[in-house]
Amino acid sequence: MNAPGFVEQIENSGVGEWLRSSVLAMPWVNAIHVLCVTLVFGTILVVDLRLLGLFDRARAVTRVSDEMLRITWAAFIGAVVTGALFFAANATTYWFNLAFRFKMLAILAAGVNMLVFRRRGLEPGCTDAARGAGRRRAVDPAVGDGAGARPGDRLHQGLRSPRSRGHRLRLQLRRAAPQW
Amino acid sequence: MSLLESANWLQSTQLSVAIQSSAWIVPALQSVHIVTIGVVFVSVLMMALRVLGMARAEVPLAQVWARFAPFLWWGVAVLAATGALLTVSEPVREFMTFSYRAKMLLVVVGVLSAATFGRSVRRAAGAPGQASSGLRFGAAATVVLWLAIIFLGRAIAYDDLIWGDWSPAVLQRGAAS
Repeated sequence: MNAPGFVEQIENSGVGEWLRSSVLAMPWVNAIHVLCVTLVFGTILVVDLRLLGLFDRARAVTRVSDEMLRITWAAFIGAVVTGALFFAANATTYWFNLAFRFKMLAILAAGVNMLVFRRRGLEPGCTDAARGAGRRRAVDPAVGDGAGARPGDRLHQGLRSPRSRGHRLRLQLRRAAPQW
Repeated sequence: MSLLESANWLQSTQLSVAIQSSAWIVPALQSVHIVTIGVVFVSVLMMALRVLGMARAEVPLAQVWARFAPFLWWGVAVLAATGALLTVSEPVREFMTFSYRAKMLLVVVGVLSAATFGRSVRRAAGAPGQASSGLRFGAAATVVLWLAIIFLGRAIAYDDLIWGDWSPAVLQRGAAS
């Protein structure tokens, strides 16, 4: 059985050739990939432990996630780039590897998981002003430790950073009249 | 007994043979090892970022240490256990590399410096103002140190490519041919 044409093309590309022929390319790709993977896991663990209410309860969820998710995203991008280089070096072999396929599915699931949290406003870059419209009792560091939050609670409203002019207007409206 | 002879002996022990003959023990150990590196490295990183004023600036330094130190020490214990078993599974391949030897040396330095750091944090607890310049330099150096440890762990597989004549694997290969 042959791998699809595009997979063979990737493997035979200049990048693939270069990775296989260079002496030090693969060691570096490997080291950076592992470093990025460990950073992704370690930083997301800190956020998850806060979400579970097991650690950092004195700090707002958003404050913890803001700090950590920047690192998570940077490391994730690094892992994707170096992972793609790994793939390019031996594309046809990876294509038929079952563990590789499961891994890609798991990354897809992690992406969906991230999108769900994004929709709930847990993303880096939200301003404190935007957060002010939120559920103060649950997340404001000045008010509480999140103990009042119940499962299913939206942690706060109006949190997403504006993506467009229309979106910014809607956020401002919501902030002006959070009781709507 | 030379290092190579000790490695050969270790490789022939029952424990080593048992680990080698299983298809899943080594991948499982590697997975736990790498996940735990994430825990330990991020704990070190968060402490360093706090000292440098780049994260958790509103939390007292001693509190940040108290939050991450258990993760650091338990993590190091898990790394030592899984790392020891991985070493037992193929001691010749590990001992006969420059990367492994340098890594073990740096791990000792890293653990000692973390312990020293924890002590100075506890002593400085309550002191006002930002961290001393010595502490700031130590924090940055610690991150670089653990980066080097992670890199050397990866480099074991490419030892002679990276280190050339420094790699004892090359000497060994030369002696065998």
